[in-house]
Amino acid sequence: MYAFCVQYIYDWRYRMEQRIERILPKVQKPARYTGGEYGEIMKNKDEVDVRFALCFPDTYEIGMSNLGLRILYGVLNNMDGVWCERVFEPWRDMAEEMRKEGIPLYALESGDPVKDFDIIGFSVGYEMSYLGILDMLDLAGLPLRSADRKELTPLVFAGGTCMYNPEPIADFIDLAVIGEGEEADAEITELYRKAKKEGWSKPQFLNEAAKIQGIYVPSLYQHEYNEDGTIKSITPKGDAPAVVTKRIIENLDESYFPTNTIVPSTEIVHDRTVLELFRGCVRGCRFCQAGYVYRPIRRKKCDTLVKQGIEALKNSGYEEISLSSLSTSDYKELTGLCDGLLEWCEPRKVSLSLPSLRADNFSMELMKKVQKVRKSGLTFAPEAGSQRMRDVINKNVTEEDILNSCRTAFEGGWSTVKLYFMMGLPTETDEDIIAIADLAFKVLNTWKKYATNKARGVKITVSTSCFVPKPMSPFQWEAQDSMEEFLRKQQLLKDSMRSKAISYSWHDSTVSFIEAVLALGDRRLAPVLESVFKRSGGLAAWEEFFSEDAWNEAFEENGVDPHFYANREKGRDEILPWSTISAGVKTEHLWEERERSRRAEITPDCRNQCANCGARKLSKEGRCDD
Amino acid sequence: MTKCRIRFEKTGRAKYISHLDLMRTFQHAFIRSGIKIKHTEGFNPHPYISMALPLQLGCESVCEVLDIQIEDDMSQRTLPEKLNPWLPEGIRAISAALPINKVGLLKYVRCSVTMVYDDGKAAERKAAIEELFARESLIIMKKTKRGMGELDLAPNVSEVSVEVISDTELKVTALVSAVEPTVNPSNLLDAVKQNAPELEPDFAKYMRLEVYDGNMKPFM
Repeated sequence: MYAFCVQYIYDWRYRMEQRIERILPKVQKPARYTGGEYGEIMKNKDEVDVRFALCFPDTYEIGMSNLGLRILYGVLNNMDGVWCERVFEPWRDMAEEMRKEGIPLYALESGDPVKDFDIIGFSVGYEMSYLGILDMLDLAGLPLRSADRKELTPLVFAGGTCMYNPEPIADFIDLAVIGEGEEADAEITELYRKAKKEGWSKPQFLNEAAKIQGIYVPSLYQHEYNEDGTIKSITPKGDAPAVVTKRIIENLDESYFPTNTIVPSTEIVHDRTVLELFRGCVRGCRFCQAGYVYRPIRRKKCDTLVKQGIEALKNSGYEEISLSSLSTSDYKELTGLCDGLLEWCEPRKVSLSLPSLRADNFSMELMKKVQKVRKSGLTFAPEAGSQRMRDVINKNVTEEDILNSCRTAFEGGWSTVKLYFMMGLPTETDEDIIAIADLAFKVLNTWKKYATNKARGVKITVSTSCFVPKPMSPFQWEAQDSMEEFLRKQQLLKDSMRSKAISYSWHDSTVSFIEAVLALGDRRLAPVLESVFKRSGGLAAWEEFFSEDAWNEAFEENGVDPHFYANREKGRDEILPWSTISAGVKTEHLWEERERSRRAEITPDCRNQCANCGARKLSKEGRCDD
Repeated sequence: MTKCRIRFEKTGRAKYISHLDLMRTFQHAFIRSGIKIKHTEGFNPHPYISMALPLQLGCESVCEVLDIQIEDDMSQRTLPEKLNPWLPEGIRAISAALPINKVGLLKYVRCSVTMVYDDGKAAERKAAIEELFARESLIIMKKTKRGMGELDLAPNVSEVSVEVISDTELKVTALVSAVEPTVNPSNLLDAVKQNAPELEPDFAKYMRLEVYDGNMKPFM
């Protein structure tokens, strides 16, 4: 099925394994570092001219759960002459052993050092994994800064949702892919192949690359600053465009989907088949970056999905399939899709799970469907406690919707409900916080009134996260609450809870603060990231390795005020660090939405009324949600 | 339902797959292969797989034993060729047959420890290692369910041979007790470390070679 070359396995075993084998018995979960899983793609090195290291700046378990990574792995390996291999960030124990023994970061398939690859591509979906990029470059034995890597090879780039503001890592990467990578990554790879063959210099290559839509070359933009620290101007150089517009895949039915993919030999976070229903979201929640940057809506046909889902299950042997999208209940043919999948799944004891259901149109029928094979807990995300606050964020869900959905769930026998909320939203008052506790209490009363099986008891969990203003969302100009304010609000909510059946957990505001700094930051953060990395290493997304002191010392040492980025409201006309990047949605639309939020005015979802955000222009035929 | 015992090997990179992960790996592989096997009862039914003697993480083996029940009417003999294309690198079914005895009758394991000496003087240690395993008593400290305990290897380890593989490698092969007490290949290294520390190698590799019943018949 896959190109399989015994010789290369022997190469791996006898060349790298000698050294790696000695450290593997000393580390936790060594299967993460060996490769050799079912479905991995092996190629003959003599028959490829581009070696691509697809890097994920977090652990194997997280990275292998990422659908985007699996898509790109397949797309790149389907290219003639290209061998794409996987690289993950090793856990601390492994990284320490590797550094001690002088073993450079290697790719799982071949065991070859990453520094010898042609292209090193990072997939970045979370700001806290920026340190992972530095960790992996350092482990590979490469200079961290793009400017210190003079040669064309290896080319280091990054893609993923974080690249809507790539500025904090601008000095480390050679280029960024903005938007969906299926086509752009392939185009970069082809251009690289040409450049390598013709012996181009790195600047020559980058100048050419900047002409490709969706490619942002940070070194081709000159940033100048005002005395107050805000950006004075951003000037493109050479052939770089003034604004880089993101890439999209127009037709998802025809685009590659990994139905034949790697099945890890060790347990990963999402150990199941994942089926992507559509990209984009009709809702327009104002805090949600994903809801804006993935526009326009492009859905896959029901038939395509049923076919791909069954194929993926057959090929993997997984016993669970999960439907993935930003808002699964908004998929028009959801009932037909579930029926089509269940017809195959039920007799084979394969279960179907539906995350991302909205509280408003959660139906009994749908619930019965997912319940047929196995039953899991239910999660709703009202995001805010009061109606005013939900209108501010344009959640378009009423208290009645939420309680009706809960009633349906309780009548159907569910007894575990998780409720997700955000704290620190723009215009939030103490009444809005207390309303979270009130809503949870009403959910409990709904259970008391309607539960069919009270003997099992009820478990209601309230979780709050700290709002992080994100680029390209209508709240991109907002200031984040201070950490003290978050702590006070968390305590207030804790004190407002009215029953022991409701448990409350909250996110650490320190991490959210750093997240905001990185999400909203600019290229002046580069030395900060280097300092933090020196102090506390990678894996910063993991609580055990996140060091508040390291961040504070790094800000201090480099004279950077983190509050300037996180806790300052930005003006309408301020040049934001990501001003050179466009997700297709007009800035005027974002501002208009921000103004409406101030008046607690809702905007209908895209299906009811097109808000004319501008994203449909990204599609050649101006299509959106047809 | 047809009972079926599979002998399989776990070598190379696959030796780092833990026992639990190996069970899951087989479950997925059976589903991929289309060979229908009996599922467990209960709320979360999954393919029922039973493995005789969990293998230590990092130990290779050419004699693992796995029991399943096949739903379809198929001959056990053809099972390896049907299953092997669906297994990851390093895991390979060698043979399959109707089990002729109960798993509980598994009594002995032949295994080897390859000890690596970076100084290239492996051969010089041969005699001393032989002497060590010839002692009338060879006590090691071993982790048990109740904390650390003593175990005398001498009555539980026999047929020891020491072979010079290369300048850097000595291979100790022995027949050890599989159950009550369980002697793992790594316990042979423990014996060296604890009783003759000067002979401790720089690195060691383990391999299970054969499993036997009480009458020293290969376990099938």
